[in-house]
Amino acid sequence: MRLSERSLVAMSLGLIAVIASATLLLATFREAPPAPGCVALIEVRGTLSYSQSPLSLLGGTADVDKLLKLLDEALKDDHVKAVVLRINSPGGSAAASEALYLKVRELAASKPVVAFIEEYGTSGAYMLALPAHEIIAANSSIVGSVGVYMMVITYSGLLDKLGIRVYVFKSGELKDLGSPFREPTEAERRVLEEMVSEMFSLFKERVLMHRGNMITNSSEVFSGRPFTAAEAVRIGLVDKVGTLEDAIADARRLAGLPEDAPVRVLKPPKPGLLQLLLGQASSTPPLIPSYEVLAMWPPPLTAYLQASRD
Amino acid sequence: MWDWGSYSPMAGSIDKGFKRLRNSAVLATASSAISAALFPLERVMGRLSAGLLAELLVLVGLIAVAGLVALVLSLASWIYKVLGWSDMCRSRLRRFYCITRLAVLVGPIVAVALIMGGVAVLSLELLAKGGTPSLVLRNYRGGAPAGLFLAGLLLLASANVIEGVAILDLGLLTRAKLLVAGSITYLLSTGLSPVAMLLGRLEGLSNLVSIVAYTLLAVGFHKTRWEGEAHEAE
Repeated sequence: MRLSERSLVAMSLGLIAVIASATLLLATFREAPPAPGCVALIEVRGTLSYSQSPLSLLGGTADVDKLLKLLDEALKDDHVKAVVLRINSPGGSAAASEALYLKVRELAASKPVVAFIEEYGTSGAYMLALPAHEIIAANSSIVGSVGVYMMVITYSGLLDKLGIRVYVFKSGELKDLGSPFREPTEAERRVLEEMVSEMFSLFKERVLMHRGNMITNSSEVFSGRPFTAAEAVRIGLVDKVGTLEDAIADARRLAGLPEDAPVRVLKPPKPGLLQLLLGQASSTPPLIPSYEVLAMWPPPLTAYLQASRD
Repeated sequence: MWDWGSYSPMAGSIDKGFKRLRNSAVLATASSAISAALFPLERVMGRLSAGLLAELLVLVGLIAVAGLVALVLSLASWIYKVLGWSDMCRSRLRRFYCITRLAVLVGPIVAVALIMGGVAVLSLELLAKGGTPSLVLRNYRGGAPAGLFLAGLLLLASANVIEGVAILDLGLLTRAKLLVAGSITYLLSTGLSPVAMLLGRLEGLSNLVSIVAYTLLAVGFHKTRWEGEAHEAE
């Protein structure tokens, strides 16, 4: 059988046209937006700290840099119409909590945010939930612990027993504030208490700004004690007791999304091969004995369990 | 009328072309088989956790070496293919074979250049937008990189279609059933490849069809000898 040159060319062109049409149709179909909008779910788990923070000693940490990126992603992504923060954290460093609070506030200014406290939403973790349009706590969760503490660990007694002496030469009286090698002086105690007090004022101000009308017993709220979910509703720290499904449903409602609008879990990217090879994924932070903390004390057992799982 | 049955420079050139096209198909079969084997391995790699670093490294090394081997085989296959169609063109049996030679020579070069251009433009956009790659890609709606990718894919498919039709013609001329079957499977695989790539599914099927097509072509070219056009030989 001999086909003419023309029929070979025609056959080729015909097949190319078919493949090109199918490919272009598929490409167009693929580029179409998949849905009118979705709810983004961001998980905040573990102690809040920056990746190299000494606070990771308190248990599994929520890397704030990665969380900030995720919040930013939710803010910039036009398909994300509402955000649910799934919180299970006892709090963390003041700086990390502050950074997250500011980012959540920015996010809440542009789209509905619902905070769901799953197990722990205390101290710094509660602070980051404050700008949310609604705070829902799981029935058996622990909420509150509104306050600041600063921890100074000294081991001068131990050094004495070992016969080790430390000499520090300093330019000013308070230059080695919080030194672990000796007991703090009265002047140092005053400075540290002032710092804690200042940070607490800021925290208190924020609680009153976001939930002022709802707080029924401020002396109880600002005592620093944690509350069960039911008590937290009673004193106005959270809006209601509920489940994650309730939080998602409320986020959809607040954003005007249909009841079956999809939920997209935003997760930080897994460490790349280079990071794994260089060991950055499992780097251990240096031990620094003193730190200003917006967290529950003692840290909940789950934080340690989380750390051992990681 | 020429005597197709006896030796002529034309027949010599055609047989030489068949041999080179057979070599090209053999190398392409090996390359496709390696690619098909790599496909599930890449998925396994995605599932391995950071805790299994040693296994992960072994797997990455394996994939890198196998990928490199597949690339070298593809390149060698392409060189044989160009030389084979050059022989077929030189035989003056068909002008269409010269078009095929041009298509298999220029098509892949321009297609790869377009796809690389798409990668470069996309990388620049990622840098300029400053967002995370996942965010930029998720919100990505066409634009220059997508156009370049698509143009590259279509050009590659076009070159393969022209080659497939040319092989089909050769199969019909020589009454080589394996070549006819191989060319049809090859055309099917050519159509399936961009679809699988765009859908992000059917890659396994696409790989399998490619392997079958190249195997049929390799055996077909190996068995076929030019003894004149089929209808004239009868």
